[in-house]
Amino acid sequence: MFAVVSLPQFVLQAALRHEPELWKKPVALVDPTRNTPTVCDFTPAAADAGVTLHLTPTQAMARCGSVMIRHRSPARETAAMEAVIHCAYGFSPHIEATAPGVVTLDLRALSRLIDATTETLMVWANELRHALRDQGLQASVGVGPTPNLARHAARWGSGVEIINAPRAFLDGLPVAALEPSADAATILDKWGIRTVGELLALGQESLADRLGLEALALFSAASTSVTRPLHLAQPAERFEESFEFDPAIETLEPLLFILRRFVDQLCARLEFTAVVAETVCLRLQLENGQVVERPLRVPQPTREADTLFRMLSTHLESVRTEAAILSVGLTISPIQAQQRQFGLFETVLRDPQQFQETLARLAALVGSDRIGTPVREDSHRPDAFKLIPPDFENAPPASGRKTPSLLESPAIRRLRPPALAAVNSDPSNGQPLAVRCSLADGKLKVAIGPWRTSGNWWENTGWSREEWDAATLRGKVVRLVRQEAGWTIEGLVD
Amino acid sequence: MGAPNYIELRSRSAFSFLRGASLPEHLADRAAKLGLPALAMSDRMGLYGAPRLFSSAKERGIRPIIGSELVMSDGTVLPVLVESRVGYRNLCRLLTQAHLRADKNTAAVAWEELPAFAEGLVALTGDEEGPLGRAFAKDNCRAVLDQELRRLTRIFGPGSVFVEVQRHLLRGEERRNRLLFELAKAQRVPLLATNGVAHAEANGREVLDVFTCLRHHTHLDAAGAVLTANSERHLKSAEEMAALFADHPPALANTVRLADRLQFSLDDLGYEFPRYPVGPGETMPQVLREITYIGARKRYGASIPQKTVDLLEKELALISKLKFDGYFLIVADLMRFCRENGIMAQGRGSAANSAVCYCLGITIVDPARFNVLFERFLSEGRKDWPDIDIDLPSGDCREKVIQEVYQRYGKHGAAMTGVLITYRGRSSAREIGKALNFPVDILDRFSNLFAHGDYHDTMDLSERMAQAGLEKTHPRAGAFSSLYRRLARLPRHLGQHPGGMIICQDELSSFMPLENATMPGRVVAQWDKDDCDDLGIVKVDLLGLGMMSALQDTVALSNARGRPVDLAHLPEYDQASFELIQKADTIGVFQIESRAQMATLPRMKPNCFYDLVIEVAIIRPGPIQGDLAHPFLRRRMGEEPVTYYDPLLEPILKRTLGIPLFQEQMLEIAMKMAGFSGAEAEDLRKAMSFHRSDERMERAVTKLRAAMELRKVNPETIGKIVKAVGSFALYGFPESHAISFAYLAYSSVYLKVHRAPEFYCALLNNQPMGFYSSATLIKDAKRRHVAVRPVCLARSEWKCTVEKDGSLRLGFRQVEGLRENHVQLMLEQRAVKAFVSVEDLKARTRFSKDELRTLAEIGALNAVAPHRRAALWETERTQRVDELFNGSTTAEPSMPLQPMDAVERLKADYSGLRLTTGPHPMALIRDRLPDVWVASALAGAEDGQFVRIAGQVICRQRPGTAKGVCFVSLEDETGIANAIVSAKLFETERLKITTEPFLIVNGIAQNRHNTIHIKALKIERLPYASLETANSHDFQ
Repeated sequence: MFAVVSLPQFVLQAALRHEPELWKKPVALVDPTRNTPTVCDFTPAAADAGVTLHLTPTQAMARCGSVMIRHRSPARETAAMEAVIHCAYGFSPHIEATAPGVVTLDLRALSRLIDATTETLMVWANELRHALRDQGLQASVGVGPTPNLARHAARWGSGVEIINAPRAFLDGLPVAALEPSADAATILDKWGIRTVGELLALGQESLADRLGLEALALFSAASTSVTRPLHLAQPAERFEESFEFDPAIETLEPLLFILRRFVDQLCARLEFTAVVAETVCLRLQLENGQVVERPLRVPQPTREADTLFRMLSTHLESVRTEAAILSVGLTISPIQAQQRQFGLFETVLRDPQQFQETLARLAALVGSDRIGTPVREDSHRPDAFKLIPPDFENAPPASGRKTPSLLESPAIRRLRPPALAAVNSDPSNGQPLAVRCSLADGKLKVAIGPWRTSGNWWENTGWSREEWDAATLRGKVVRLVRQEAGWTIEGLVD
Repeated sequence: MGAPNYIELRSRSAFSFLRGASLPEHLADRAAKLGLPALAMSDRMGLYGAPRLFSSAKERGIRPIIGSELVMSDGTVLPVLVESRVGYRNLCRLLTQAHLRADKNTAAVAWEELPAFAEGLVALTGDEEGPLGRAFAKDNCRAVLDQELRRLTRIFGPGSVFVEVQRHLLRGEERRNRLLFELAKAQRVPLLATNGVAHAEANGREVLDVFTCLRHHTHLDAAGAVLTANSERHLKSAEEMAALFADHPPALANTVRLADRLQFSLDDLGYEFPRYPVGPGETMPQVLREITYIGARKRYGASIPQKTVDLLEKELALISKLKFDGYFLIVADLMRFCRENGIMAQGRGSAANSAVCYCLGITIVDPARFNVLFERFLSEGRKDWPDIDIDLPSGDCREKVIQEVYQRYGKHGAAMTGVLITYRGRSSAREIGKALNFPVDILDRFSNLFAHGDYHDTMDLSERMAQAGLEKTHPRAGAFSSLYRRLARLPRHLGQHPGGMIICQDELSSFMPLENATMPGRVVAQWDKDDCDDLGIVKVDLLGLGMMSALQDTVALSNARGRPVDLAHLPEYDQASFELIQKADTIGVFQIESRAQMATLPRMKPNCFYDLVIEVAIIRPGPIQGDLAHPFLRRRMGEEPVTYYDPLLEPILKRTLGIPLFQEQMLEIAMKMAGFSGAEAEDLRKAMSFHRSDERMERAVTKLRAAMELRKVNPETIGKIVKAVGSFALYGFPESHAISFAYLAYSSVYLKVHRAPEFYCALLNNQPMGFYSSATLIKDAKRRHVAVRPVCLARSEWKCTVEKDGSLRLGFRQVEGLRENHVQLMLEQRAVKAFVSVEDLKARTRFSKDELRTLAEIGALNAVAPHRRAALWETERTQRVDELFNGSTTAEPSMPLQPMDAVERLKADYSGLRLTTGPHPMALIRDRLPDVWVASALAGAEDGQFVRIAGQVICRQRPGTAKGVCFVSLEDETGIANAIVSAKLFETERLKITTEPFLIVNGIAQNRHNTIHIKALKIERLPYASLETANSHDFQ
């Protein structure tokens, strides 16, 4: 006896798993990886509004003005599939990840189900469905004498389907149940063959003359007795959930709400596989493109949801992000209970958690935009740089821009920050005539320039500067810079 | 103020394609404002913008100097300027040589070939991309730079090389300049200060940066130091340049000296039209006169009307005086080639105003009959060539004529004119969006929302962007709007004009650079037809018209079926044809099949050929925007009295009821009211049709107004005339052109009425053309009682055919995915022996399985199988090994598949043919639409009655003249219903209207002048997934 767990509309379920309220609204799922992104699945409300498969998002919006367009997310599909596998593993040690959203369980070795009645099987199957429901997934379960039959039962039955009359059940199924190749499906459709019964009535020999080996495969798939060995799967050792906010969030409450759900679901999965959490990694993707990643070591490995959630919420109280949060991800690295060891290739820092906490405190003091490793920006703007998160294992990326040795005057002492200066200039050509500043003062003997640079004109970070090299009557040689904010002295030539 | 001591000798326009940011006109304008007496422009590997600089600079009173930046084979860029005609010819030949041997955009000049073309050219050493700049950046070695400069001096001669120095206020540039100063001094090569201009004004740098991003396939955030460091590469005044080069006055003075040397002007092009070969002792005027009168006798018989003789004499005298005889002879010879090769050809354009053209067989319009204005075609004082356009059947026939021209004049002697593709519309928005690093989905949505050619003036750009997802408050929204406006009309690339050919007596490549077109075997000039026109280079437009092909095919089919028809001698008045026109039953008819035309026909009720001429001309943006169309129609229906701007104008405007509809009338008005000469009137016409320059138009109008005022014309009349001229400036339409088109329209109506099967057959065989899809044409044919038979293995040919019983048989060319050579092989086999089964077909042809499936699915194999599914069943069968050897077929149990039902057949037809000969999709769901009016029943709807219509969308149009209103045509099984969607409703339902193949429209019937429109109030999707669709005609 075999059971199959099948998640109808798996891709959409994975996408909406953490937003169950959207199932009542018109939502169309679009696969952005295709050349022409089209609708690949949709909610019943969207179907009612006329959304169908293969529409472009624009067409879907034409049919239903309120339709919400969501993008298909392979990461979420992986996470959902892992959740299904973890749950199934709690019900049978022999499981197969048959297809996306489909897991087959071998029930033959389960003492509880040997010679079980239909009622017992129903109870067992409903327990499995409930476990999945706790993970935010709606599944149907089919039980049958072969893996294929069980799969058909799960796919085409409703809720829980236990097959007692295999032949009659199969004949009524649509041809698609046998999963013909695209070519064969097209041919059968052109022939007007809609059900497995109609297909079988064509006769194996006649069909083989037309579809070749595929005909034999289809007849085999329609068999009620042929079984196959399962490709047994082990549950992944990674426990991960993620969620994208739409729109991006700026307060803590919605973040904590979703994290609580993650922690509950992940802890349930830890329990199914009998492991505990060693580290928890929180990842926040911000609207400005920045990614905040916080690995937290669990002091005492556990799978208690309350403990883990408390740890996260305490940590989040000290986190300030510079932009709204677009998505959150939570990854738990498990270990067997009571087993823990330092990794040989762990980061060079003795205690990264401590280091991150220190950085977080510094950010709170000086602002998060002033923390990081500076790297040069590819720009004409002198001294343009940006801060990237510290990475102790890799050297900072080279800016790729060679400093042009010829362009710099010799032995200039740069002043950072530059010193503010008051400059009198010739109104006809802007040439500085006199400077007043703590570093240099008085009339200018000579002023060479200007050198002009400007950039970022396409948005409000546009800048423009004019440089002059000048010498005062007292022999001080300075680099004067005029920007929108006024004059500064940026350097002294010794 | 003393003489200016600086002239900018180095500028790149937007014709350097992504390397310059301003049009030549803009550069010339700026130079004039800055007081520069001359301006040199050297675009990258071409003279693309030279004619425009030439004409705009002359207009602004500055002297244009031309040159080009040569991309050398080592990657350096060498600017050269033209000193003399020899130099110009050398440059054109050099550029042509480099372009013709290379793929598009990869042309380069080899250093070795340069000496042969150096005479008459002056070389500058260039900027950082130049030979010296590159050597400096690479080695910074004085010796290498010395060698490079010596090489240039060797090639161009000592006085013809200048060391170019530029100052863009960038740190470090002085290092290079100091070296250049030393070098120039050491080798005694003069210095030349330039600003390496890439944009006319400082803010042009923004456009240049966007172009740089497009060139490097990146966006502004990632481009970094690839972008310009500042905005200094703009045109500067002599004072600004003097301040920059105060330490090197000779570098400035040399610009003036050199400019004085560069006296070449495009006026000195030396272009000559090819001479027509005449016999010994003959002259071209003699030959022209002789063949003109031979033609006249053919047209009129032995006694040529005196009026025509007078016209011919007047024209021949003028042609001879202007030395255009060769041109007429050559065009007439080309027409003779067409006739001898069975190619239907018809001249149009202003040539139709000429009696000589009529007698030479170039046009079919008898000017004596229509009193058209010869001055529109040719007048004394005109310097440019007269305009002869020849309409040819599109496709192979036209290509044959083009290749004949190439053969006669050689690859370097003839070329297609270029056509400039500019930045505009959604493609421009898309590229700017890419450069600004906007998300792809916003750009996609923008493209989807605003389809090609869609009229969208009901929303400004920021609203359109907001609809696509870019808020007005977006930090880059301002930059987007500004760039969108500034990129508009800048050149994007040079394409190939569909039919404009230029030829010359000598090598054409001596007069303009030529390059390979994307299409194999075609050579294209770097100038467009307006440029050629401006420079007096004659062009012959060989235009392909789908309708000419269709007419030619219809005549051939009719002749073959024993129902000959001679288009040259159609009855002048055919009642049945005019009845059809008056009912607006004009689907498939040339010109008068559009929605707007069909809406006007029942009001206009054309009743003679000239009415048709007016009908063709009246539904044009010019008359509509000038508010001339509606007054004309009201006068025509007697709702408004016929009045004239001035009693003097009655003879000119009488035939159009006092309303000027044609360009010729405008010219005659100018001649009558303002006393313009023929040449002045022609200048006015040019200004009207010269779409590039508002300024030129303004000048022409001012001149016209002043002339009328001088003659004391009533100010109110002046105002009306000036307003009419203004509207003609948009899209003037010559009467002669309208007459030529009306002939084609009348011919096509006549054939639709009297040779319907042949006509529809020819239309289908020439698709795509015209306004409607094959599916709509077939439905129309059926409404006209032409039986349309499906594709059949036993009867169909490659093309559609007319069967003995007069039914139209679809050809295999209609079937999607069939290869012509496979069909031809099948036809050969069928001629040997008819096919008896699907197995037989498979054995004797090379059809792929997909092709066989399609044929079976559309019912084409029903001749050898009981029904479509039976054919499909047999198609899929593979021969068994034993059958292969003994040639037999194993008997199978009976065929197990059921025939397709009506919906399945419809789906199969649309999937394989994009049309159906069976019932219309709407007929299959009619019983589910109880409250919907069928199209044929709408005639009974009362004006103002609420109705609900539904159908397949066959046409969506938003003409620019309709102020955002959209016209939607819905076809059902009984005909076509027309809906009008207000601009407001269109914007609300834009996506539904533009994307749904079937619609339901609820609205109010407007039944006026026998025309029924539904004014839409609500638009719904027709929600039946089983409906299949053909393509609709959208926004074109």
